[in-house]
Amino acid sequence: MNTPTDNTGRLEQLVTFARESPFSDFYRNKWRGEKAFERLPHSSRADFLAVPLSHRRYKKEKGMVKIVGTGEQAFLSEWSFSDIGREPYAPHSMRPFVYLTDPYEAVEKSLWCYENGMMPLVGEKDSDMAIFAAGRYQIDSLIVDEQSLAKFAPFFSTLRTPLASISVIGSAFSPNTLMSFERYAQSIRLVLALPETGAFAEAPLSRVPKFTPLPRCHVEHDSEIVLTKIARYPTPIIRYKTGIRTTPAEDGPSFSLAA
Amino acid sequence: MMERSDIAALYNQILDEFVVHPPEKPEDYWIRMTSGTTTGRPFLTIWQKKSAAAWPHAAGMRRFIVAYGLLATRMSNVLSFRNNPENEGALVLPLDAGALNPSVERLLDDFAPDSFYAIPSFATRISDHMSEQSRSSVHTLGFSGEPISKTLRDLFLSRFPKARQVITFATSETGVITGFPCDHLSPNQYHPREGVVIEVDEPDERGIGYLLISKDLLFGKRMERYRIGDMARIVPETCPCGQALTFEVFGRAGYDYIKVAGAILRREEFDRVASECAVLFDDYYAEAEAVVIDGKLKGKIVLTVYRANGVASVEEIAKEFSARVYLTASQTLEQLAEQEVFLPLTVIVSAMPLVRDGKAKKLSLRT
Ligand SMILES: [Zn+2]
Repeated sequence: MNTPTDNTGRLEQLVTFARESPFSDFYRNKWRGEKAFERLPHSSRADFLAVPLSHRRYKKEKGMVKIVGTGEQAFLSEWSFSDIGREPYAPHSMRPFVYLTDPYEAVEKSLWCYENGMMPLVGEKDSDMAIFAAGRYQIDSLIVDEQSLAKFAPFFSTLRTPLASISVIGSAFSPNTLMSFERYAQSIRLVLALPETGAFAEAPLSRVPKFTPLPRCHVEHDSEIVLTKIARYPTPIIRYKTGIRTTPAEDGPSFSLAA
Repeated sequence: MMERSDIAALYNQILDEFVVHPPEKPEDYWIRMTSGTTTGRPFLTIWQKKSAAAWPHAAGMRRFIVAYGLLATRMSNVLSFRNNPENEGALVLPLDAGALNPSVERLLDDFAPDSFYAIPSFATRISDHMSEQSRSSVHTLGFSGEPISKTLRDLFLSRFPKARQVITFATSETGVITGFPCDHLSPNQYHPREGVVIEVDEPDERGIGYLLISKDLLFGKRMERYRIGDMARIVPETCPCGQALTFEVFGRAGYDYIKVAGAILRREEFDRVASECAVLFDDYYAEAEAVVIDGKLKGKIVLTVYRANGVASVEEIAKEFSARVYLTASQTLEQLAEQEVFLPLTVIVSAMPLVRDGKAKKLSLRT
């Protein structure tokens, strides 16, 4: 277990917020009488599936709702616009291009740009269209997932100067494949994220990326990442099983993803 | 008068200006690509979001679904929603067609939408996956992107009995050109949006001619009498609501393409298939419409053909034409008919050479 202690006070406040909420029983029912953070039962996608969004809303702020997952495994995930804006998805740039496979993620990350004072161009599914549009907009950064980056690859042959940044968002990465894009951007950053949790760790691209938890993210390693986001989301993320397997570093909070 | 190439040049100047002199608040702008056409490449258009002004009815939209095929269009609606100061605490769901399977019903019940902005064919598909109770809490349906027939309006009225239908007319090159709709108007009749000048060029004896649009764009540029490619007429009577100008849109000039039941029928594609079927017939015209069968919206195409010498076989033409003509990027009419999105092609053989009024129409929409 790797539990940095500097979060303790804020974790307790978050737990109290969720336990005493007048708006939802979601965590109260799950935790029963348990009070100590490290003994709170884990939450997971199964809980989000079992309880409709309307019964796990801890605040009522203007925002967007996404469908996460498909078919019987799909559930709703709500994000206030200001919460989206606070996620550290990418560095600031003048003309970001958002190209993501999941249409809800594409809209959300475009909103993230707006919340942070940028006008994004969102890429359509058709990669010829996307590449043409990105060239015309003279994009200077890219917010992308691995699958879309592969589709977007022909764009780079037309690029005169490297992009300021490429932010690759996902829950698994193929560093060796990504290394082939290294010369097209001044920095390539891997952002570990799930649609329902937002971002929680980042790593500069390398053969064996070394991830560091992001601010406001409490990461426990219990054969998989168990995540707490110290933030009052519409549905807070508290001891949430991400399904992402890791190898913690010997010392410090960093980790690498299990192969 | 401006043509598409003039408009493309204008928007390219606006884009260059935007890149060199980015505005102070980029979050008030949005950008999208137009569709390419047979006559030109696509280009990027930039718009300023004047937030609440365009959304006088948005205050009551607490659970809002946006359902357009293009991400950019979804994004534009989500941004208007975000920038609107009148809807604190409201939620938007930018629904993707990929989610439309039976299990989405519980999610839509959970979200409990009270309003939609969608293309009509997408909205009918969403309503297939909504419980009666969910449908009855919808109070606003906003449509644009496809012509809307009386059949469709009646279908929506039966599915969403409490919903007001708000129809706007927009193109990717002009943006929304219609104002907030008024209940005195018939389908496909509109009042212009503030700041938009509507004219009709070369009207025929019924007053129908080319629709011309004038409006201010960004950075002091102006779209001046742009022929957008639709036919329209100015309605001579003053509307009881007091609006001085009403115009009625009749669909595409020259009938390059029409949209029906979520598919895009292109004249070029119909001509291509007709030439492949040259041994079967010599001339054709096609009429498409949206029909409702057992409560479901379907596309219907009637192909009228003429053969100068020899007998035309209805079955063979229907089979060959359906198997060859693509109505979406990857699907033929035959495939869409198998999925019951379209009815099987109806073929009518004309004994006489085909005579068309006016503008050589080969493809048209029945409304
Ligand atoms: Zn009126």
